[in-house]
This record gives sequence, structure tokens and C-alpha cells, in this order.
Amino acid sequence: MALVEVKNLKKYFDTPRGMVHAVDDVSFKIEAGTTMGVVGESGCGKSTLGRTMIHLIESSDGQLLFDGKDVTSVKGSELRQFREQVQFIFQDPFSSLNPRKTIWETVVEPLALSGRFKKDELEKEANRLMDLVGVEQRLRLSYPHELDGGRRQRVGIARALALNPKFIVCDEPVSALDVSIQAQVLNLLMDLQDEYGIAYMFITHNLSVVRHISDNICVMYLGQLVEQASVEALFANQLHPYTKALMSAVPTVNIHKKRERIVLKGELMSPINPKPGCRFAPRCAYATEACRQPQTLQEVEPGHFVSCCRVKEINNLP
Amino acid sequence: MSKNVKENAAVIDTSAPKRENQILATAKIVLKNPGSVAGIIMIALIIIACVVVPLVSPYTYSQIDPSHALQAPSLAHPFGTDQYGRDVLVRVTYGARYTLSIGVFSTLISVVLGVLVGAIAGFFGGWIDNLFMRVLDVIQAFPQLLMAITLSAVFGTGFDKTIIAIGITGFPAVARMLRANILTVRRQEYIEAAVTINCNTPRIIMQHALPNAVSPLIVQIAMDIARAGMTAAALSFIGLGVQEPTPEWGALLSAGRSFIRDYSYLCLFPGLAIMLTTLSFNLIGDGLRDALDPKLRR
Repeated sequence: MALVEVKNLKKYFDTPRGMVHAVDDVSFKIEAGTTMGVVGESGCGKSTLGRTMIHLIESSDGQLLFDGKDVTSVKGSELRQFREQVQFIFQDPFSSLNPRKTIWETVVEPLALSGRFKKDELEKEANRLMDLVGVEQRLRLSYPHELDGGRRQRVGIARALALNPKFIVCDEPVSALDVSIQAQVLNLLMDLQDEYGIAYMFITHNLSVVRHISDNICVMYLGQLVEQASVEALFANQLHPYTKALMSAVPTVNIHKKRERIVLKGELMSPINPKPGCRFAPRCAYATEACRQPQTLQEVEPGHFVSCCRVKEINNLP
Repeated sequence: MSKNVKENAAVIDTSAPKRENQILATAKIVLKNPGSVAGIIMIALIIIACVVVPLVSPYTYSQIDPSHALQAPSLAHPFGTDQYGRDVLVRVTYGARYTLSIGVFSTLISVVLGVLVGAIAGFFGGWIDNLFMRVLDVIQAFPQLLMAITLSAVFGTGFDKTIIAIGITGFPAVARMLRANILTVRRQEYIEAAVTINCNTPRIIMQHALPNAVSPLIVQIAMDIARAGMTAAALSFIGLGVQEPTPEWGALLSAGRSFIRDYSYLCLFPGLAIMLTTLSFNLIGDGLRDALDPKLRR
């Protein structure tokens, strides 16, 4: 049984100019202890999806299952219980820590709020967390602005880990960090996964990062899932035209290998009241009349889902 | 992990031993600003004078002595005497306790009301925000002094009623300022983070939103004390507010007005007192603003 299951999740924002379809009919599963990478360009609804999944914002429609239980509309004590099992790691370590609280106060707060610990245990547990993420004890009374980005992000991770969550949504946790620090933080996240069996949903636009950390990948375009597969399958063989274009943008270290760079033409269409049919069609080289019909995610190869009606023709599949 | 779960543990102590106290650090910077230091010294002198002078002076503020009416400043009466022969020095220093405490207490009312309304409006937004802001619009549509006059007319005159009247006229400005700050703070990710760790809303407001939104307010408070003192003086000047024979500064000015041609010192000393107090609080406020704004720190 999957730890997290999302069924036809939708999040629409009502704006004066119309309904923004930020997340539209997204379904997938995340197994315990695995990482689901979510990639897509800016504004495609990745972060909204992540926030919706842990009830930071409420979904408009669809179903959210956690550990086999329907948590789509939990409230009160059930919601509190749910929040102790899921966590969020934020993109910007500069704004995700309260500037008026010391590192110690930030790490201790979730522990204290849970009511699980006595005062002396609280101290021990917070120290353990700081050791776990590699934040030196001497920094416990520092304020966030006195730390570098990597250390701040570690503090954010310590806060997220405090209550032993089973599932953590990581919203571009390394994109604001230096490259050398990125690797440290990614490895920390992977070590923690090995040790505690945490499932991640890893939101990013950095394809090398997602390849390094993920087991499965979802590719999003304008609020919809266009392709979903295991990391190996997706990097070996992209089936959706958008994923092909996306992957062709990944720089390679092999200078002898000539690669065809697919440059997309046109603009992202507006997510406000989009027409039915494939949202990528206006920029797609393979678009035909059929693409104006609503698309469904179909299993083209075992475990490889694509939302494109012409997927077989394009890829010469039987 | 032990299961000593105490539902709704009333007091959650997440404080750790502090290292350098932030208040102390701010105070140090304020003390480097010559203007603020001058302001603090002046306020201190005024407070000392207002305690000491009435104690050591042979006269009391209401002691009438017609034989010594309207005397120019001399050794016996350093600030002269008024038309009833009362010692002006004692009256001005005694009046400080009224003007200053009206300033402090009415600002306290403004701040408590303003923080409450501003924080709630800013944090929750939506119709609550709209409702609160429209009510404030109505209050602020009246000029502040006119509002204070109207309220004093409704509540009546006197020390406590003046405090309430001035407190109410001052709170919309505080509320608006705090609301604006809370609006920007609310969008920060650490507020979302607080939600994910099961912080309840009052705690989020008190622990995460307010501490990051109040620093501009602290400056405002220093200035507000001066403004409230001025409004109090203005109210008693026109005969509302604190009444005779209480020697409130505005009342002293008002009483001295009739004799301003020949006995200008009757207006000069209370006027100077008002001016120096206002100036001092403004100087302190300026220094605080520089100390609390990291961008202005050198």
C-alpha cells in the first residue's frame, strides 16, 4: 500500500480574471521510504501541489490518502495528528526561519508543542536533532541571520524532522544554496531517508538534482501531470514531447556526444480558465486536431505513464 | 519517546538561556546617539524636578497668596507667581506628573487597542480586515484634535477621562501601522512553517508574527507619548481635559494667556516645558528608530 496517494487532486484559485488552474487533476502514489521527484518549469504548480498535500492550502477537489486513510478534509485533532506525520522543507532558508528566534528556540518549538517530552528530555532531543543534521552546538543561541544558507537549511531540516515524520515535502530545498552546499544538504536528506525510512516529495526544476535523489519522477506542465516514470526509465527514454524538450536542456559533460537541443517556441499558455485538451499543444511540434480533446494519463510501458494521445506515433511504439 | 502527553499544556517554554540581550544591544546603540542621550537626560531632569521641587518648595501648587500676585521671577519665586500669587515653578513641576502620565497612559491605551485590532485585521485579512479598517476610517475621518474634543465632551472632563479620550483618538494610527507590518510578515515562510508544526493561531500571532512586526511601533510609541501630552495640553487649553486648580501644562498656558502682554513668563515656562518634553520624546524616538533599523546601523 502506498504511503501517500493523490487522486484527481485539483487546486483552483479564484482571481478577478478567472479561475487559475494551479493544480489540475493530478494523481500519483508515493511508497514509504521512496522519493518522488516533481519537475516542471516555474509556475507550473509544483509548489502549490506540495502545499496542498500537507494541508498548508486546502485542495479544491480530489482525494488525498495518507497511510490508507482519507485525509482530504481532516480538521481539528485529526489535522494535528496528520501534521505530526508530514512535514515541509522550504525553498528559501532566509525566510523560513523566524529572525527573532534563536536556532535553539526554532528546533525546540515543534518538540515542545507536541507535548510528548518532559523538560529534560526536550533538551536532549533537541541536541540530538542538531547533531543529526550537523548544526554545531555552539550555534544554538545564534540568530538565523548569523548563519550561512547551508546551516540555515539544516536548521529547517531539523525542525521538519523533530517529530519523526513519515513524509516530507521538500520544496526546492537546495535551489537557494551554493553548489558545494547543495550536495551536502542532498546527501543529508538521503542519509536521513536511509536511516528513518522517510518518504520525500522532492520539488525542483533542477534535473540533475532530481536524478540524484529520486526514485520516481513526475513531470508537470501547467498544473497537469504529463509524464510519470521511474528515474531510470525517464532519463533513458522520454515519451512526452515536453519531457523530451525539458531533458534536452540538461547540460552534459560528454563533449563528443552531439545532442539535439529542442527549443520550444511560443509562450506558456495562461493557467486562467484553460481550454480543454493538451495544454502543451500550442508549443508542441507534433500537435494535431486530436490534441484538443481532453488527455488522460495512460500506462505506455509498465510503470511509465504519459498523458499524450499521440505518444505511440511519436515514439514508434506498437 | 515517553508519552507524557499533557493535552494543551498551558505554558510552553521554548526559551533558552539568552546570550546578549537584544534590548540591551538596542539600548547601547541608542546611547551612542547624542540626540537621544540629550532627550533621555531632559526627560530624567523633568521627572526629577517634578518629584523633588514640590517636596522641597515652601509653597504648594494651590496655595493662594494675593499679596504676592503676578510677581516677576525672583530668588523666592524662580518662575514668578500667577494672578493668585501661586508659585509658577511649583505649578509647572507639579503639572508634569499630569501631562506626562496622560501621555504615557493614553499611549498605553492606544497601543493595546491598536495592537489588538491591527494584528487581528492584518493576520486574518478578508472581511475581518475590511470591517476593522472601515471602522478606523470613520474614526480617522475626524481630525484628531476634534475627535479628542468630541470624546472629552461625551465622557466629561477630568484626568482619567482625558486619558481615555486621547487613547481612543490615538489607536487607529497604531492599528494601521501594525496591520501593514503584519500583512508583510504573514506572507513569510516561517509563518507557514509554524503552521506545519501545529502552532495554534494565537501562538503564531504572538510568537511569530508580532515580534517581527512591532519594531517600527516602538519608535511610534515614543513619538506618541509626546503627541498625547500635546493633545492633553491642547484640551485643557480650551477648557476641556484636566480642570483648575490642577496645574496641567495646557491649563497653565491657557490661564497665562490673559496676562501674556505684561507677564509673559506665565506662558513662557509651561510653554517651554511642553516644548522640551515633546522635543525629548521625539529625539528618543529618532534614536530608537536608528537603533532598531538594521539598515541604518553603522
